Amino acid sequence: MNQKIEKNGFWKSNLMTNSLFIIFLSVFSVSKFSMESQSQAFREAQEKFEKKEYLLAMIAAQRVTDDEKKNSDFHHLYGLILVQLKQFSEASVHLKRAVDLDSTNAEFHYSLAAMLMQEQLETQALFGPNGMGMGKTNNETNEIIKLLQHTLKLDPEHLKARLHLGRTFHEQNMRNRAFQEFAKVAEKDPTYPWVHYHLATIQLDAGKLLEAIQSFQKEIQYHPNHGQARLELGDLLLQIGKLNEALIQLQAADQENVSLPDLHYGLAKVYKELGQYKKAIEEIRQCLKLVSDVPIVHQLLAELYYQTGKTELGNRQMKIFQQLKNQITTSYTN
Amino acid sequence: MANCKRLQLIQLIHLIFSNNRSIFCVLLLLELLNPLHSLLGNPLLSEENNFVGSNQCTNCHKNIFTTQINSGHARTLRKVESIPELLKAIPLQFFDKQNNVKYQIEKSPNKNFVLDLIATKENESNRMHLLWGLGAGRKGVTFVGLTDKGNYGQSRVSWYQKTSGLDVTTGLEKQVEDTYEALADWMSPPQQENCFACHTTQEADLPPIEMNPKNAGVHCERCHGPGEKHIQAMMSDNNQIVNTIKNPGKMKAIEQIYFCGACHGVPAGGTDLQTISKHMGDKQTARFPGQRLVFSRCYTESKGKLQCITCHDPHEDLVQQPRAYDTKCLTCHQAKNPLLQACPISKKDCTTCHMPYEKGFMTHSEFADHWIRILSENNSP
Repeated sequence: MNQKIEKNGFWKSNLMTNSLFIIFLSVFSVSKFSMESQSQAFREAQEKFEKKEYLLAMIAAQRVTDDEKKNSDFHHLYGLILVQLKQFSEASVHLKRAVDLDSTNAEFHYSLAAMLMQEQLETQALFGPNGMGMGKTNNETNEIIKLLQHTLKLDPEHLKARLHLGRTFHEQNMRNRAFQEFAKVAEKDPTYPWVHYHLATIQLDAGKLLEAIQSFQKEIQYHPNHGQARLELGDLLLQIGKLNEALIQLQAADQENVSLPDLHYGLAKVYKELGQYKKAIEEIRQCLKLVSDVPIVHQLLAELYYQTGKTELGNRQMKIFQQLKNQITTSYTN
Repeated sequence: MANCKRLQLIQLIHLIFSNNRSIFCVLLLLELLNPLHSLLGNPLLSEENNFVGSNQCTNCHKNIFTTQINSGHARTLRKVESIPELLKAIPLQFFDKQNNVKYQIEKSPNKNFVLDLIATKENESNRMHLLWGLGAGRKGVTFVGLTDKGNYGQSRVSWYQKTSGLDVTTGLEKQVEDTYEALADWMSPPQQENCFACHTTQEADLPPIEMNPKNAGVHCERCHGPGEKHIQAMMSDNNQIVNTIKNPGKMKAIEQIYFCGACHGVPAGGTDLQTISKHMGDKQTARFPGQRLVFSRCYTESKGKLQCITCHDPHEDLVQQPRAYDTKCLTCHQAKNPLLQACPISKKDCTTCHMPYEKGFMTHSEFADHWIRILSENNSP
């Protein structure tokens, strides 16, 4: 009897232990399954994001963020995807959430700042710098500066954040601050893309023409494909009368993705100075195909016509130049 | 400080031995010899090049120094108590009808300050202690001040020479919510630095209250760079002065336009069509001569001969009589040269027609348009 009782007791206690074990196992495997499925969804979102399949990435990331609301990485990735889809308000919610969840992560602060910068750029592209009251506000810019500074506090080696901080300072006309940030980037990594370009633009603003030329040259030395730097350098070399060097830079810039009207205009100017009027006229015609309402393009063409003895054509272009010039003057006055 | 003493010492030795000036110098030299041991610790020819203060330049460049110290450049930043035209006009009042705000400049009750700007709207008023006046006073003076809470701002009203009174500062003609906003455009330290950079010789990054009046305004070292090495070289036996001081006067025209343009408007790039169009079309750019001069045929066809200093001596006060510039124009535009036609209308006051004053875009101010050209009735070249 006692044995029976003991057996029953044994079974009872075993049953309880086993049940608990089974419950534990099932909870563990469910949560493991759930975690695995989450991390799989996260990986999927990440892969899609990297492949620039943003819509699919968004669906995957949304699912994973809904399931796990306290994971900063999930919110961060979801925010980054939304930025690509230009859903800035929603992106801002998730990027801020990521920052709140892990305020020690420099990348999260940077992403939020980068999102605000991109939002500003998009707004400007739509409405102009001050258009419709939606242009940059001081508060937004101050927030960007704070976020970038915080990023750098957490990670002083975050060169991307430093470059953007420099750019933001420069946009705010804070030349010295901007220069300091760019100089730090250049010191840390002289080959960092755009850094010498930005240094050059500040040097130009500060009236240091020759130093700016050197900086553009450095940018091209490290990044021979930097078309915009070549265009700017060509422009400056043209201004200081180094025509052949200017021509080399402008021709090289021709291979790259730069503002084509400016490039054709620059080439036309160089050819004109070199006395190659036919080539100059060819370039200016290319320029006119792209922009026909810029007065000085017509002025240059007029000069070229005069140089080549085509007075009538020159007069016609001069007339267009005057009309367009008056139009833009009126538009600025109004 | 040690540098300063060192230079004084060098100059005194120079004065005594080269000019046999006075016993006073000898006495001063003896005074300075006292801490000589500490100076000997530092090599006289250091690698660093420091600012020495423009007063040091007077020893060798007395005439130019005396002229420069009275120029607009030198006056471009002054303590408010050093602006005689302002002090004469005190107390000043102005009523901003648009915002229903009354402004007054009056003596400060705070012993640490001289003048205060007070903005009053209905029963509320706010006060800012005025520290500095920006602008040589030829057109006007805008103030930079400080509140009791330590905020710096650019005053929303300026003093204008034309009316000898106050009016809204150009660019700040906005709706204001309260008297605090009405007082000033409040500035962050980098914004202050940015403004002061063109109005000081050095240390533009200091908080305005800490700035030394000696550095206020554009003096020798603002354009020529720090003078320490130059003085050291001049005092040394070998007189190797090459590259010890910058001389913007020797820059090429375009380089000089960029150099002066840092404060007077850097031109658009030669191929930047968008910016060129803006500079060409927007008459407000007349405020920035560097941005307009480059459009002039006089500039492009002179092939680098026409530059800022062709017409302006940066050491002198700006000459405003049109006649004073005639000789510059006639250097090239004379009847003898068939390629450079002489003006059929007049041989004098050239700038009156070819560089007319642009006005209306800045309060009580007008600017000579440096786009030198033949203007038709509709202002076209």
